[in-house]
Amino acid sequence: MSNVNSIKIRMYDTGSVGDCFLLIFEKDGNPSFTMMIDCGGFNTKAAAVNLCVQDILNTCGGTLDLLVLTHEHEDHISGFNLARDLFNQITVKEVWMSWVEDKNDDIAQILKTKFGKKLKELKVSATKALIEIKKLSGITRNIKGSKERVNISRQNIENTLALIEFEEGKKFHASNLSTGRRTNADAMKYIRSKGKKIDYKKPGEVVSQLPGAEGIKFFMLGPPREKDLKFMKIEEEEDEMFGIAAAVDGNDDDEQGDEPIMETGISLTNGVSPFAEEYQLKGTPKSVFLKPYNTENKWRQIETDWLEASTDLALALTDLTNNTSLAMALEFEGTDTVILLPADAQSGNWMSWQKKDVMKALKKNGGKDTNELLENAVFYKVGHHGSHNGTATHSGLNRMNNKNLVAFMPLIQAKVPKQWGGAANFPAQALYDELIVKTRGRVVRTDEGAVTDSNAKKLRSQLSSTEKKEWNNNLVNGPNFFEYTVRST
Amino acid sequence: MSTNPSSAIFPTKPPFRKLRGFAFDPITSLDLETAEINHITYKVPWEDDLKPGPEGEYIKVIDRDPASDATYKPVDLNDPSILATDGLSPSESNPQFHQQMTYSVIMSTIKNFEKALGRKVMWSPLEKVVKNKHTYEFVDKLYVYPHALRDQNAYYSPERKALLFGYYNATPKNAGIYLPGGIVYSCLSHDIVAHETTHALLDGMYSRFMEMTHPDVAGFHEGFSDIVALLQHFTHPEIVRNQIRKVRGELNTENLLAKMAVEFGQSTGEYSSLRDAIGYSDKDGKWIRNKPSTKDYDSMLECHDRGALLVSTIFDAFLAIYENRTADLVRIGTGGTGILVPGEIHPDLVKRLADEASKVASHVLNMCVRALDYCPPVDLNYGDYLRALITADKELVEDDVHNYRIAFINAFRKRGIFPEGVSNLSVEMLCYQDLQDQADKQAFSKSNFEFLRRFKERLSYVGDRKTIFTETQNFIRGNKLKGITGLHASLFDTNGKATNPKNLENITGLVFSEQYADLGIRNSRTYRYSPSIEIHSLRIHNRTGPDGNLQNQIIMTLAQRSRVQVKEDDNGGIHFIPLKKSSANTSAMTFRGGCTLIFDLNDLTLKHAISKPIFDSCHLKEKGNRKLSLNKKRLMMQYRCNYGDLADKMNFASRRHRLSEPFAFIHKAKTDII
Repeated sequence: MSNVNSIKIRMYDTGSVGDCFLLIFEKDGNPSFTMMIDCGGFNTKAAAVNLCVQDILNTCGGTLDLLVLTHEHEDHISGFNLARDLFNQITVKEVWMSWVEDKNDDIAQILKTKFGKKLKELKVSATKALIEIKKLSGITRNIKGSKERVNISRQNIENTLALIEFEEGKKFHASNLSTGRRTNADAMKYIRSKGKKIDYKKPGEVVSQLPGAEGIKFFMLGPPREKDLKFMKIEEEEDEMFGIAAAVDGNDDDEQGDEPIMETGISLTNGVSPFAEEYQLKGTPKSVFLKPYNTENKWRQIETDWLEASTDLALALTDLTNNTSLAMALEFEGTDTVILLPADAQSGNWMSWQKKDVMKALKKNGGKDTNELLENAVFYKVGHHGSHNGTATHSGLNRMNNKNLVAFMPLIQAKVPKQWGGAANFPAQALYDELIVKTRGRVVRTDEGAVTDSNAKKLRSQLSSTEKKEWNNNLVNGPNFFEYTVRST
Repeated sequence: MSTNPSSAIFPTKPPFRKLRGFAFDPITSLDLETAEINHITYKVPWEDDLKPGPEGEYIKVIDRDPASDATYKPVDLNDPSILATDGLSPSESNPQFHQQMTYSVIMSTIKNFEKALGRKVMWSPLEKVVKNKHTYEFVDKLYVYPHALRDQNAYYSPERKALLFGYYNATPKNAGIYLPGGIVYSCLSHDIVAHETTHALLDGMYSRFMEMTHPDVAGFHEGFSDIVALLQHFTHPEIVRNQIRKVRGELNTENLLAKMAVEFGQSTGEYSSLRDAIGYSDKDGKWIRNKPSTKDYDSMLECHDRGALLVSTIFDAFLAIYENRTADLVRIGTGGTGILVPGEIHPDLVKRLADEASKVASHVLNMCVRALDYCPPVDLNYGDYLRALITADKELVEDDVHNYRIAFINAFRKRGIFPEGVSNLSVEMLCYQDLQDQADKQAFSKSNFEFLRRFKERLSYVGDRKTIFTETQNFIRGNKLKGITGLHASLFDTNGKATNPKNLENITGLVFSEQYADLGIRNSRTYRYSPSIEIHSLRIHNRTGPDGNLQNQIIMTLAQRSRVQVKEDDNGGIHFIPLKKSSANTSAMTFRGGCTLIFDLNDLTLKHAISKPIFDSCHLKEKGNRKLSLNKKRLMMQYRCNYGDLADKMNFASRRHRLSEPFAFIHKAKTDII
């Protein structure tokens, strides 16, 4: 049986920041296998998504061989709610998700329980804080600096709440969605039931010989799986980010992932004091003591300060979900051609690919370890829309040295929500600059196509004539997508 | 008075209140080597009217813990059982001890400032703006919240006049001596509390030191606060004594104290400027001290590094002085060889060395704080601070027998910190010169001096901080009801003309002549035809030096503000265009000049004028119709810090969202997310 020798990769414009990819596997130019990865956009409209799914429907002819759902975030799954009617016309042979979505996985259950508890706790506190901070607006009006401080505090708390809302995935912004199509959970449920077969993937697994995709190996890199969630919890590691001074001392290369035998200390819970009850003021003495604080000195209150840092906590929770991303690499068997698809993996996910057990398993099951895969990557789907911690340095881009490297970045800069850091932080400048150098200008963005950055243009003009020809032949500007053809070498 | 016979026997108030506390923080108690010195007794000034909180003249501790939705009972330090036992015993689980500890450290720090400055300290006033009119209200008490945050953070809130301290779960990752999952309270760390208090004290003196006009400004607030925290440790001889005994053998004194400083610094975690600045232990635990380089000043631009640079500089001076003062002791103790024989060091030698160290620490701390009075009110850089240090010390101590000043100059020189506009680094050159020119001396008329004398007489015997504040305001702004002509009015005549505009400009670097409008300076609100000049402060400065010379001075700080628009041309050139009044340009940059004037009341002269000129003072002409232009050099630096190449290095803030408090910095979450 012949092998797949080219893959067309389409990156769709879903109307906002989000991922929606279709991979068309071809044997000598004839489609033999279709694979879809994610479909969503942050706060996007059905119209834009429908156009994407219509194109997918037309292209795959009503049957997808494989649907991959990388992680449970609106910007990756909202399309399954918004364009449900079109999806209903598509048959899916197999669905892949990460082990985190497996309801029978014990570690996944630990993660989901802890995560849910934290989210709930944070929501209660932040909601309360918002009420408190709103009360201050009038009081601090005339005090120099106060107005601004209260406004920023309020903004931070609102951002926290927006991030929590995003994590909960309960509020879809498109109107008129009918029951069963309103939440992340609805979309997940739909996708789970969609496949004739569903498989939850763990790092180290390698899949090959899928019917129609002969000649392609699927390497599972992440999400990291340890009981103590060590790597999962690493949202950003300074040493793994571009443009950040490496201030990490010592080599933190230890592989200890064992759970402690004893849980020590007290885990601080919102609303519960770490001190004995007897120290607390109650009743009248309390109201007498706090009277000035609550009345004429209200401008000096500190009721909400502790929650301002919660924006970071909420961001960390979002990053944690990003770290549950099913990250994979596709290899044209027996060649040095690799497609890298890390979804929204953050520092910890990337770093975990370097773990000895993962490296060993990949090598044993597929013949290449993480570093060999990175070394041969010719197509890189940029992680997490180009954020500062979505592409690792040492464990990532630094190792991608193939001279034909092309990067696709699913990003509509103007649509980056402010609670993520806004357009100013996407793409992260230091990463972007490096990416442009590494690809010699061959970076494609959803909102720009071949990027308009001046250095990128200059570098593209310096490509050899063969390279230019390949670049021009392989890159297609579709009506609502960009497509690149990766060919086996 | 009471008829109790005992009141006759002890008519005087106790000089201080003894309160037990941690010398460092609770963690230090868990280390066998340091446990014994971690409990010390703070002697804080006695306050008669200390209320539960504690709430005294300067601070009010409010133990509100919003994250727990709890308020803790305020400790009453006048409770007989607490008085009799020198305060509550150190305990992490008793929030009332936390209140006591915070109070002790804050009051010790205040005491050190008052001792050095020779006057009562003030918190920065509450500034209100109603319909564009600014008023300043007296802030009597700094609010202190020992359990304000659940976060590895602690900060001074300049606008709420409050200190907020956080607590958090320690994680296994930074476990070490911590209990994984245990709780760390920042209000129990001497260094953190002293550091944040210093921010507040500094802001009370110079509110413009938070404006990012120079890389040094960002570093100064942090570095200075660390220095105060660090030197305060060394002022406790019992701590130093223990350490000196412990590290015998290598009595390379320089190494010894530096290493101690780092150990002191380590316990506070994020306040790691010490560790970074002074030295480190290598893999084998061998102590290695960082070598200063003359390139440091130009290369260490990031704000943490910048603060660390100042700490290491001052610390270096401290070491040099200590070494100089103890060289003879070491020789005596070693039979003249300077090399110790094996075994314990003689306890007497330990004691003498420790006493010297703590004496030097207290002198250096004094010098550092006293120098603040000689700083320009805006745009301070390290070179200015060196000059302030030297001048302040020379004024008070004629004869520098122990070469303190040389030690400071050397420490700054080794790091490439050179003040602007001096031709060499001798004490004489660095010291701000007495004004010589007759015309300059007379720029301030006799009536100005009479004004200052009246001010001095009025405040000489006033101890109440509120009265001091109100009277000072009256003298600055004038108070018709009390028949006080304000300072502003004594500088300008009724037509809004300055008496000697040209001379005043030469001295202060601020615009007094009619061309102010061309430089983007608005007119005064009270005198429509004269330039606006802010009088920041008027302070009495009364001190007696070790030689018995009495200083009788008044310090006045002035500032002026101009609004400029920044334009970039096609060739990358930057132009600053002064804005005429009332042009509502949101992209305008506020540019300030300022001047600190030091008057001697004994011989009625203006002694020093320490200026950051708003105009270009280099090419100043003496002719009457001279034309002033804005100070391009300073403007350019400010531009670089705000918008240019230095902008990312200037603040501690998080990359992803803005913080509402300037002194709050985001630490990487050390606590587990889930």
